[in-house]
Amino acid sequence: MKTKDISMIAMMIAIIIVLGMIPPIPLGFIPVPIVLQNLGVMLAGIVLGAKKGGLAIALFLTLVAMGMPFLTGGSGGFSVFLGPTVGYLIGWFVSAILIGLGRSKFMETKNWGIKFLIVAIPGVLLVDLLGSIGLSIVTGMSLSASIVSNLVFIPGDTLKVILVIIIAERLLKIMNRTER
Amino acid sequence: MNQQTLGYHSGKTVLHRLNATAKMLFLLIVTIATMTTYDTRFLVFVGVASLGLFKLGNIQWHQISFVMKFILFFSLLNILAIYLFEPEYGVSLYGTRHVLWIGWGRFTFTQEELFYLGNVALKYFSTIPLALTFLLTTNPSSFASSLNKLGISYKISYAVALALRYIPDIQEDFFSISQAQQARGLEMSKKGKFSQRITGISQIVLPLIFSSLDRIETISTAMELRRFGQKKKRTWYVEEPFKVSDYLVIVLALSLFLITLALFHVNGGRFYNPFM
Repeated sequence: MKTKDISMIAMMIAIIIVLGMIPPIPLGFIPVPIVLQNLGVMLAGIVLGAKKGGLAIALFLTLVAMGMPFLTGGSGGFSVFLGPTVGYLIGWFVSAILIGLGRSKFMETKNWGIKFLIVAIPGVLLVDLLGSIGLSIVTGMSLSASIVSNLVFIPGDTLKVILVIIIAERLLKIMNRTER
Repeated sequence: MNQQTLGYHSGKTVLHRLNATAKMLFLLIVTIATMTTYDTRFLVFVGVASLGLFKLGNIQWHQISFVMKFILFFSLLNILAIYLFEPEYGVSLYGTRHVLWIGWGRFTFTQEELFYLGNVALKYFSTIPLALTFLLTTNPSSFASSLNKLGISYKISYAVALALRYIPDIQEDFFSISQAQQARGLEMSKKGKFSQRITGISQIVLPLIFSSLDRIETISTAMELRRFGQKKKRTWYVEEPFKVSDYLVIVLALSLFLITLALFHVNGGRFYNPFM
């Protein structure tokens, strides 16, 4: 692994941690506020690619498992992997890899809709689906009720996808220029 | 320098001098113990002891107040969510029902539910001070050398250390950028409209991420000029052998864990039930 890759992985982990500390923005019409931490997860996939993005999320989750209060709200510790939110954490890892696999396609195409799908399908739909499954298994809630309750996250996550695309386009442009 | 950032602050206290591996093992074991038990007596003991660690590590309130208020907000949100989903979960757990207030519809208030929610709050109260103490008293380089000692590649261990060192820098960037943008007329307070706040957040997050990633080139070039990564192994300047105090810390952690196992037996489960 190159030294620059190590620096980038470390910086992405730190960004995800700090985004988790930014106060959430309440949407007036929806009970859950917008939390920025998973924006960092999606960004890690698109900027670092599949292998390095997956490693960054794996290291981040390892720190959380050790007890660090790095999830939004200061959660941490091995028990969050046994609790109702375990599906989302696994989803973050899987989504970073899948978004990373779509990275080259993301850079090639000019079509905004395709870019949106590359980020949104693994970053929002898959994470919420895995989160629903985890929530259902741990709490005993029915899977359909769990999925329906997860729809509340879709508007905020959609906004985050748009923000990720805007940021990623500029970042990748700059990165390509410096690496040329 | 803003003292509210969440990162290592050097010092010479007992906690600073403990071996990072011992501290990490302690944090891991005690966190697991605290999260598995619902015995109120044990949780209170760990909570009070955790606050004692703040004193022992010479940690000031202003160093952690921002993070603590943030955590407090989310803890209350979590407890409220538990109540809204299961207003009488405590009743089913403890097997009795003492109504404090009939409430409205299914939203009753019972001693059992309040007792259960109090235990959940105590878990936060117990575990988060431990993690904050670890973060503020452990040199990231010591942490990296500990991970390397446990068998993780030194490059990956070093990535973790770098990440922990970057956190205060990025936090400071966040504060600086936020204030600069507000000086330019950005509306970030609760009075602003939703669209204004979304625009505001994006105008802070974008430069935050760009300025962070800007540093990568400089840092990785400097690392390479110092011949980082040329060998399969490396030595660690900060590595220390285990001392008696380190072994005592690990023994203490294991003792606390065994106490929770014993309490499982005494309580006939994870819950201490004062209503029986």
